[in-house]
Amino acid sequence: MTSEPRRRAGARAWVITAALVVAPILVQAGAATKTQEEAVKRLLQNYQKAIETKDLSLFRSVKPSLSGEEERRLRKAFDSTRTHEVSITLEGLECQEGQCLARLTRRDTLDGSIVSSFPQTLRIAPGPEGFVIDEIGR
Amino acid sequence: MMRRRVLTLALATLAALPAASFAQTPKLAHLLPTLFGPQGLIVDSSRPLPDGSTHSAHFNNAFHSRFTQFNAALASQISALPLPAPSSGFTYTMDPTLGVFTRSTQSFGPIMVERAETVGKGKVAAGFAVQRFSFDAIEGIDLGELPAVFTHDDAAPGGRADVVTTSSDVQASITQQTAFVTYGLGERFDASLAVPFVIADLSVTSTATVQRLGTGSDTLVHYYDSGSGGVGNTREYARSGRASGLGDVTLRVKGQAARWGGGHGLAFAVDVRMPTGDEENLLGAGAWGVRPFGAMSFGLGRFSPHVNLGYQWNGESLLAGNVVTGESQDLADELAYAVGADLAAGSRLTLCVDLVGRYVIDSSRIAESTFVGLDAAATRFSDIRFDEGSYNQSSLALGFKANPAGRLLLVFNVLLKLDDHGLRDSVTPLLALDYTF
Repeated sequence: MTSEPRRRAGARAWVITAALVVAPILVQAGAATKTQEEAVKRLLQNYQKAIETKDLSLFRSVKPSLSGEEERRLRKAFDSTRTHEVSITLEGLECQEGQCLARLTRRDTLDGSIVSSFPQTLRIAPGPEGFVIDEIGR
Repeated sequence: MMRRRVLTLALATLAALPAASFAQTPKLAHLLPTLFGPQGLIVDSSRPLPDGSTHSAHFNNAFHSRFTQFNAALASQISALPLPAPSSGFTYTMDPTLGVFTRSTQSFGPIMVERAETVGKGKVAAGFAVQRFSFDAIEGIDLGELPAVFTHDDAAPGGRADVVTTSSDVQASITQQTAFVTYGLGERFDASLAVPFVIADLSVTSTATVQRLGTGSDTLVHYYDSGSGGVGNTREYARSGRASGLGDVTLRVKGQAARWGGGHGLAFAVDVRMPTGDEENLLGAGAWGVRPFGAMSFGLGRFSPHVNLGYQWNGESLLAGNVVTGESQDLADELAYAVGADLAAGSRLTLCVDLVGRYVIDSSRIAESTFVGLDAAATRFSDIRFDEGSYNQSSLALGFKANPAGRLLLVFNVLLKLDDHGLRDSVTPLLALDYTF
């Protein structure tokens, strides 16, 4: 084999290798898979239930990174309202390398009265038993 | 949809309030200055003057010419009628890192005083309050027995030493029904409108008695016709009236300047009082008023202390001048202050206590005095004199806010006077309903 065909074969191999590495990433950066979407929806249901039922342990299971200070604020929030109903609409979900970014619209009802709807962004990461919330933002 | 319905309801309520005032003539502010008739206090006489002309004795007193100052005192009081704080008892703060809400304070807030919390962007709080002032004293002088001594024209020893003493019973009350609405223009900025409907009642009964310090037993020099041509010593003058209508509308804008710790905050606000009430019927102060003030409040668990401090500029009002001559003068400015606290006694009950005060600057004042007759015995009678000066007027506000259901608050408050300065009501009750949508 001459050096020219060898060079071409080498270049092809690099292109194929690069395609094999990049293609899954490009696929993952787009819309989430059906499985991921279902897992995220289950997580959101638990997040909603944790707030509505004021269940601290359930909240900790959906957001294991809860700090001591956050836990104190959470207890205070749970104590300060009589009822808290949450309505979550998943507006968009992007997943990449197993991590997802969920864009939500929340419409909450506090003590029987509706609070203006507001956006929320959740950074979701894989946990030992499925997805968990890594970070909550607006 | 709900908010549009609320705004429609609020506007309909405001529109339903009568725009015009209704009163029997004469207008209420003219009752006292013209109590004894357009010419003042005149008694009958059957004795001719030394030059032979008929004698119709005219008696003067600052009471008649200057008792428009009662109107000024009333106007000053109207300009400072405390409004229930038109802000929501329910305020929440979102914790963005958890996605949960916390009540900003556990209490429903003060009643007569502002706190630093705002209602929140897009939120509406509306309410209706009724409070009744039944004034019973001015500068500590019982309005039921207001004394005055009228001296003869060009008073001098002899016949002109005669005086007419009066004891007047003034009954003045103001019932204020206020519709108020607050809208959250931003998370930390809201605007409120308070529209009062006022009912003013004023009645004056004055018993005038001829005191013959100079003429002695000669009853024909100065007397009152007994009605059947006989000679009498006394005459009763009485006038009364009622007026109702739109009072002075107040617009308030409030912005929270700082928030720290667990529910501490500082807000600045300005009240603009518009002279929409008919001052000649004592429904309004008759002057524009602007009151910038600061409100600082602290959230210490169930206990929330607060302090308000402001200054009220007042414009010119007919009531501060002379309603009879149509002369307007500056209505006294004042420094307004309040300090107190509210305590969440449970999840549905908040108890409130406040010291509410105003330092009125360079205002008309009335004081008790003793008149000394020009007769040989120097007979003394109770009298009043008119001054100008500043005074402090403070009241204790005690009340509660109860939450029977949802976001409805039932509010009850009593204002108890702590001093006798100015025109005072011993106990002023207030009942209000407040709802946050």
